[in-house]
Amino acid sequence: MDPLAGATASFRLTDVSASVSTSAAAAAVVEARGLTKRYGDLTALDALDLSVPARSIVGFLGPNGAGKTTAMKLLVGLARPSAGSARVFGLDVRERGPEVRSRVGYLAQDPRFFDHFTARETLRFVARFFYTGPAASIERRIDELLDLVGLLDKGDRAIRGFSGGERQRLGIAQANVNEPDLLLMDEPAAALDPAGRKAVLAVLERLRERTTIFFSTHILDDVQRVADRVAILDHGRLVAHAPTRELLAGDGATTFELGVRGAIDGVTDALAPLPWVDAVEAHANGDGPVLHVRVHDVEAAEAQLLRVALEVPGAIVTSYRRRSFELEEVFLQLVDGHRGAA
Amino acid sequence: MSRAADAAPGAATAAPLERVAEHGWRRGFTNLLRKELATWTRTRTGWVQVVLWIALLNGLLTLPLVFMRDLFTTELGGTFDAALDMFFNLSALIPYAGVVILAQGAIIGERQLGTAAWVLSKPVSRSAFVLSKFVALALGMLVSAVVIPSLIAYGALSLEAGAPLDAARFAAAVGILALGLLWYLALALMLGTLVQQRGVVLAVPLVSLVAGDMLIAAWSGLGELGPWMLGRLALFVAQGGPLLSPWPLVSTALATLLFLAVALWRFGREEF
Repeated sequence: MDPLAGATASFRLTDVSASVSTSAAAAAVVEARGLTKRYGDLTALDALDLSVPARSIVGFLGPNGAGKTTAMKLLVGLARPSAGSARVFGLDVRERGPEVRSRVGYLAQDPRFFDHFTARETLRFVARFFYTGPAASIERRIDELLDLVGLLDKGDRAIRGFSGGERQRLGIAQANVNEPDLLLMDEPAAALDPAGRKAVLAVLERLRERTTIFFSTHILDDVQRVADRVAILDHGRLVAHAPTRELLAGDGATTFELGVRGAIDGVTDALAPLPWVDAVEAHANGDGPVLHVRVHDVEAAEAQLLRVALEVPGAIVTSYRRRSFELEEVFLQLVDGHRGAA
Repeated sequence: MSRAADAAPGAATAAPLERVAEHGWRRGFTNLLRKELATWTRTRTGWVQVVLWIALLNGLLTLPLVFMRDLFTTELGGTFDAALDMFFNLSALIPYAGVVILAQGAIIGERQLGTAAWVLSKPVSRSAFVLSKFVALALGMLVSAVVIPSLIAYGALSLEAGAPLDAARFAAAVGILALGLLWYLALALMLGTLVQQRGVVLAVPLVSLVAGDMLIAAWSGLGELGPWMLGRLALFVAQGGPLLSPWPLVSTALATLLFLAVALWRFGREEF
């Protein structure tokens, strides 16, 4: 049995309920309750309950078609919910859309602008939705934003000549014109090269101090690096919503990996009866057989596990490490588990 | 951030930004209208339109007034009457077609390009989005295709008459033409919110324009219910006659408002 298989149910059950209880306590910037969007027979978003605490960075994960973009559009008022409600800053998005959007910065998955505008004209156009002046202060703000996204030297070029990455960076700049209290970003790093991605993550880190960030992505590594919380969506349903650290910690169990040559059965037999061991499973990787030893007492395992294995006659231990979960692993387990349950 | 700040002398003392004060349906209207009007005032579009309409509407007047005077004097009832008739009949046809052509992509185009979704992700009311397009197109077309050609025609016709024409009557006649233009503009914008195909947005108003006379011939009462009689009414007023019936004006104005109301309602429910 895969040790993570048992953890899947725990992720799903504990984390979703945790998110609901957390929302009651913390001031939520975004509050979705039973938020549903149907297109004919297709349910793109199915009764989403989600709270985004103030000053947090929430990574919104899900496979293609999971409903992430639909959720984003509902939150910014570009689409109407079929059922349920979305409140941002405590305001109903449907009823008070412009008021909500005056405090929100939004970056679409595939940002579109007027191609004949320059980057500077685009930012000026956006700024005028928020500010009436003074003109010098608006121009200063535009310069700051162009500098923030590394487009200061291209500010007077028409957008039609921009690369995908430059458009994306302009998209990030225009989403920040109003110094938003909430930044909704749909795949902000999707069209960027590794250096561009790194720069975007650095921008998010910088903005963390003064704004709440809710961003969708399929790049799990980005979420693991910057997000405080993770929400995972699959087939329109919320599969998990929890602090990143909790999610990566799984259900409290820890797994050690032991590379063994020779008497692998002897090592399994020696470890399995120990009181701090939950399960021992043999796997194969490129270097030979590996035992996954799932334990609930890390201290005892660290003190004894390797010694017990080394004492087994005929067994040669080739590697030994404590296994840490990667978000990708957790994500796949949760999504697969959700589909299996469905 | 540092480079920009460093590069701007006195940046640290820049005045704080002032928030937009528009609320309700007006939210974002000023900015959107400024952007739409810039298409007319800051690009070649405005001048191209002015030259085009002068060439079409005033250029044709040179036939009776300059180049074919003899033909119009002897066989077609006199140069002045022929020129006046030609100007008002053409003005109730070509600019109407022109405004439909210009307006056909105003809503659909932005929806298809994705720029409508981008703009509407800002603090903008959907009404402001539609109305800014209506106002900018109306102003652009009224100035370039109605007011400027009418002023030139007024001067040319006054010269031909040997004395200034009755300015108030001429202005009232031009006002009647303008009302018809707004009807076609509102119709095209409404259709742009109702359908996804530009062909439909073009076809419905153009069929109405071309087939209007035929429909009125089949049922004279139709002329009271829309803009199809406006050219003739305007001509009659400009010639010194009374307003034959107020109903074409009233029905055209009400229908224009209705088209706009439908456009605002439908666009308010649009999803992106």
